[in-house]
Amino acid sequence: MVFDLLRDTEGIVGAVGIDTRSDRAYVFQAKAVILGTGCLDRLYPAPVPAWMASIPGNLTLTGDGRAMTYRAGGVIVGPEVPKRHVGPRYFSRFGQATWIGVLRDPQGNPIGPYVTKPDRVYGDMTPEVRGVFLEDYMKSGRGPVYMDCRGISDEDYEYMMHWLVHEGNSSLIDYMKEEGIDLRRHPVEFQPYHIISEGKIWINEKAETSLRGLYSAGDESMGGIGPAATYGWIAGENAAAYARKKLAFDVETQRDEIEKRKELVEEISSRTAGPDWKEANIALQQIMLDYAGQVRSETLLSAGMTYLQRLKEKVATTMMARNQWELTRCLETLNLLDMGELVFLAANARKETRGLHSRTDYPLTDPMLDGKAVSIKKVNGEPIVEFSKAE
Amino acid sequence: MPPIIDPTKCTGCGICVDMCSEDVFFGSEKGKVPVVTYPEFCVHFNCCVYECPQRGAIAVRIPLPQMLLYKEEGM
Repeated sequence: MVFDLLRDTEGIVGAVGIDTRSDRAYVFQAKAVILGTGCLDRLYPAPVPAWMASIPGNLTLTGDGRAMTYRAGGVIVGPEVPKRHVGPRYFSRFGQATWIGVLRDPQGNPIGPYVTKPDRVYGDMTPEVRGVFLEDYMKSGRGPVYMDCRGISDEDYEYMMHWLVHEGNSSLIDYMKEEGIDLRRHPVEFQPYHIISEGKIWINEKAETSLRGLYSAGDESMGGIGPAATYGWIAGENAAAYARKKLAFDVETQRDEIEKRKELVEEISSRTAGPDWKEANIALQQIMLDYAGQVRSETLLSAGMTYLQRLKEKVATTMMARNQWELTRCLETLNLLDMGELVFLAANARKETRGLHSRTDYPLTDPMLDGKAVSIKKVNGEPIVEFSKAE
Repeated sequence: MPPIIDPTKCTGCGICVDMCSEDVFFGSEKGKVPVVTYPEFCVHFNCCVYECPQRGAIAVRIPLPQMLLYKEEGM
C-alpha cells in the first residue's frame, strides 16, 4: 500500500509504501506519479452501523489519493458536499438506476410523481432527484418505502437482472434465489445509504493535479466509470510525456521525509497496547455523523473539529497494528482522519444550504455561490480554504 | 460469517486469496485451504465465488444484519 507522496521544490518525485505481507517499506523514485485510489468511504457510519461492511462499495477505498495529495500540498475540491446512494435496505448495493420498478408507500401509492408502472426507459428517478426523500417517509412514520417491480414485462425483467449483476449485485441475486424472493412478486424495501464525501482531487483537462508530476484518474478526481476509464488513458499519456522531459534526480534528497514515514509505520507496528484501526475508525465516524452529518451549523462544526483534532492526536500516539493487514487499515484510517478534517473546514466555509449540505444557521442557498466550489490546500502546514470556479 | 469454504472441494490454489479486494483471507498459505481471517471485512462482491475453479468450493453467506426486507405477496 502506498501511503504518502514525496516531493521536492519542483514537484512530486516518488512515493512511499508498505508491503501488505511482510514487514518491509518501499520507496518509489518516479518522475511522474498517477493516482487512482477510487472513492472515499468509511468516513461516515455504514447503513448498518455495527456492520462496517454493509456498504455498497469497498472498505479499502478510503480516499488515500486525496489525503496523500493534500498532505503534499495539492488542491482538494468540495469535500463538504455529501452524496447518498439509494438501494435495498441493509443489503447495500450500487445500481439504483438499474432497478425497473416504482417506489411505493405501504399502501401501494407511488411516492414520486414520475412513474406509476415499471418503465425500462425512466426507471423511478425519485431517488435521483432527492434520495433522502425515502428517509423523510420513515421519519414521518409514513414508511417504509418499497421498490415495487410488479407488473414488469418479461423482457425488462431479464434486462434488469442482467445489468444488476454488472452493477455488482450478483450476491444480492444469489441471496434472493436462496430465500425465494422474486422481484416480480415481492416488493423490496429501499433506503438512502450513508453519507459519502464528494471531495475530489483538482485536475485539469490533462489529468494533472495542482502539483507538478502528479496525475489522477477515476473517482478520486471525477465521478463515474466512463470518465474514470477515459482519464486513465489521458493521465497515462500526459504523465509519460511529462516524465520524458523531466531531468534525472535522486529521491535520496528526500531522505529525511522518507525516514519520517518509516518511523510512523514502525511506531504503529511496535506498539503492544492501544486502540486498533477499527476503534479509531469508529470514533471518527461518530464525530463525522454527529457534527458534520445531515445537520450542520457553525457551533456543531466548530465543536466537531475540536473533537476530531483531539482524536487525531490520540490516534497518532496510540494506534497499534498486530500485523500487516491491520497496519494497512491503520494507514487508511490516518488518511480518513485527514479527510474528515477537510470536510469540517469546507463545511464551515460553505455558509449556505445546498443539496445535502444542510446548514441550520444558513438555511437558504446563496446565489452568489452558484458555480463555485470550496478548494483546500496546505501551505506551510496550514490549510488554506477558498472558493474557486467549479470545473 | 462470509465466505464459507468447503475443505473437501477446495484445492488450495489460492485464487480467491489473490482476488479478494478486501484481503479477508490474510495469512492464508498457498497450497492449503484458505483461512477467512477477517470475515467482517467481506463486502459480498462474489469475486471469490466467480473465480474459484472448483464449483461449490466457496460460497458467500449474507450476514443477518444485511437480511433483505420485502413484502409477501398479497400484502
